Amino acid sequence: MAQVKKMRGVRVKSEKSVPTLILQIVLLTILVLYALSLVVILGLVLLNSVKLGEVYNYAYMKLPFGKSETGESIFRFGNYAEIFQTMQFNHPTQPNVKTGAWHLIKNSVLYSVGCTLLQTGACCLMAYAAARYKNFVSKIIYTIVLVVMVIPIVGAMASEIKILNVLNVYDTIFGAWLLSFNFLGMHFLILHAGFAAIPKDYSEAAQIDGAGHWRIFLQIMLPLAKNALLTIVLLKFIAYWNDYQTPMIYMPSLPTLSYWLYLVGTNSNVIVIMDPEFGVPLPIERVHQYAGAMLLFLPMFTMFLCLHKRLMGNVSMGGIKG
Amino acid sequence: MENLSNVTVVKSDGQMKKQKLKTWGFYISVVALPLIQFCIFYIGVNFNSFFMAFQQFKPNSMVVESWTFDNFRELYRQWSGVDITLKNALKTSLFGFGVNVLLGMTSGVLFSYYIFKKMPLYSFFKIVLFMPSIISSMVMTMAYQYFMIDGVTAIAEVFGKTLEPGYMFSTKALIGGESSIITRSLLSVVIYNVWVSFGTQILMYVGAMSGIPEGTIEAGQIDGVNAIREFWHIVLPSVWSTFVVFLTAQIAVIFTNQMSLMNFGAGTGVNTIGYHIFKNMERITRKAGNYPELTLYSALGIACSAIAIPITLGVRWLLTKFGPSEE
Repeated sequence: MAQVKKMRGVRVKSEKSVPTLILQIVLLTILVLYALSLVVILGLVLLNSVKLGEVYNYAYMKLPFGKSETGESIFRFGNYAEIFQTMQFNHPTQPNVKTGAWHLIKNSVLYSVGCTLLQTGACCLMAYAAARYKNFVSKIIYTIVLVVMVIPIVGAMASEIKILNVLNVYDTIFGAWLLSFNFLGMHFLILHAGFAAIPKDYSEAAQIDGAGHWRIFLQIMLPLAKNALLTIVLLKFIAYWNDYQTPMIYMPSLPTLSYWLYLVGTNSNVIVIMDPEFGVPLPIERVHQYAGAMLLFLPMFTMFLCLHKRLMGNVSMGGIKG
Repeated sequence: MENLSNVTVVKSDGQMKKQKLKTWGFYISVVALPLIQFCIFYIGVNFNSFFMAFQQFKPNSMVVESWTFDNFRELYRQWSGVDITLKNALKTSLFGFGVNVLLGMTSGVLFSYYIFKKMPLYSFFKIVLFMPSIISSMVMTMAYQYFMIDGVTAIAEVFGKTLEPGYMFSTKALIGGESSIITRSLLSVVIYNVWVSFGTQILMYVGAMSGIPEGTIEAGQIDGVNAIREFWHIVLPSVWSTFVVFLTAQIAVIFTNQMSLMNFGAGTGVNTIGYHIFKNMERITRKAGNYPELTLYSALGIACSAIAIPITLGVRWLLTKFGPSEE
């Protein structure tokens, strides 16, 4: 197969050789299989989340249509209502803790929004300072980020818990926020590169017009870094929203939605569905677990479909006019 | 005097000093709080972690009772005793790392090349590959786990075979004796980790490949190199430094990687050092009576860090010194 390419005004005819074709076919096949595996496995979760529990037990792959052997409709949206009830549960380690949909959502929003804004803010401030103000402190900041990425520290959790206890913020949302207010990680490097790439002309022009440092940062630099910042905010929000382990350890009496899903997914015995007729606990079936998973998956998936270009886009900065 | 964009501005010494003070005032106001947080929650935490490894707490509290080597003696007892939990956790951590590097990272570079060369359906694959990083790990684990339990059973029945319940998560050793870690359950967990990180591994290198000068690629094409030679001789050396960074990061997390075992729940029979530490931290924080055990896990953390740090730095040095270069 020949491809004609125009490279720097020279027309070059390049043929796809047999090894190239074979490589392309092999890689394409594996990628298609991978994409199929994701679609099929997640699709089965969605299909089984609206299935009658007894049918699931003998027909995992069956579509949720038609009637079961007992004459009941196989399609059952009630799984969602039943698993939603389980958001009210007896916390496994904190007997006086309030649960329920409102508290879980409130804790999730406070945790993910607060940590996202604080961590993005810390990264942004430090990256801006290190990129635009060249001094020995900026060099130290940059070196710290690189060194921390390379040096593995294991088992600092115990020490973190103790220090949070000493500061009297363990098991509070403030403790979680404090822990997240750090500038370490890849996002610092991305923002640093972005701020460093902005020409000095912007800040100098603003200085001539009498703008102070804060005004230059807030009204000129931040808008120019808007694309990168929004992408980082979205990625961090998703990560914090899905994180259940940090709230589990550092704020155990403030359970989040992701912690609730962890209890559902691992079939914890604190999650119960009450039979509406007899008032006795019913077993949590797989179909309920799938419904719980979908409750958290669908909003994130919808957000991804709407914002995938933003989430996956590259960092870009504005240009200078005139 | 300052030259700003070809405009010469004359300022007095006093004005210059005031300007410098304002600049430093702004700089300090920006960096102060994050640096204080770093000093407390990185430097302070790690120093405290080191000290905690040599402490014993009073019962039901985090108040230091004495300074001792007992935590390390207990670790040694756990390591060398009849209980093989720690040994198997270490073996599993290393096994998981090995599979991730051999399968995940190396194939990631190859598939990144596919996306980089904009081969058929590349933009669709970019979206699909990115999806696992936005979906909750609990959702991914649940979907995979029940597919392996229920889905594989259903597929086997189509072919006339009946599998025992929980076949894909059986804890019976496949090879080796009772102390062997190679069980169907471990393989299922490892396959999950490769499956879920496959997309992220690929997308990591695409950015690095986009930094390869177009002229280099074109020169190769003019000389008639095919895709395989282009990948081996041009692309791979160009992304080697990125590969080294990510490989170093993988080595750095050998002892913190839980391999998503918290998501799978207790039934897998698989354990890594990272999962062992986290699981016990979760248990300890449930009640104050467990707090004195924190010092033991600080000691375990220090021991693992003492092994991981020189290995990470050493491997990084070796790969940078002896790996292919862009020249």
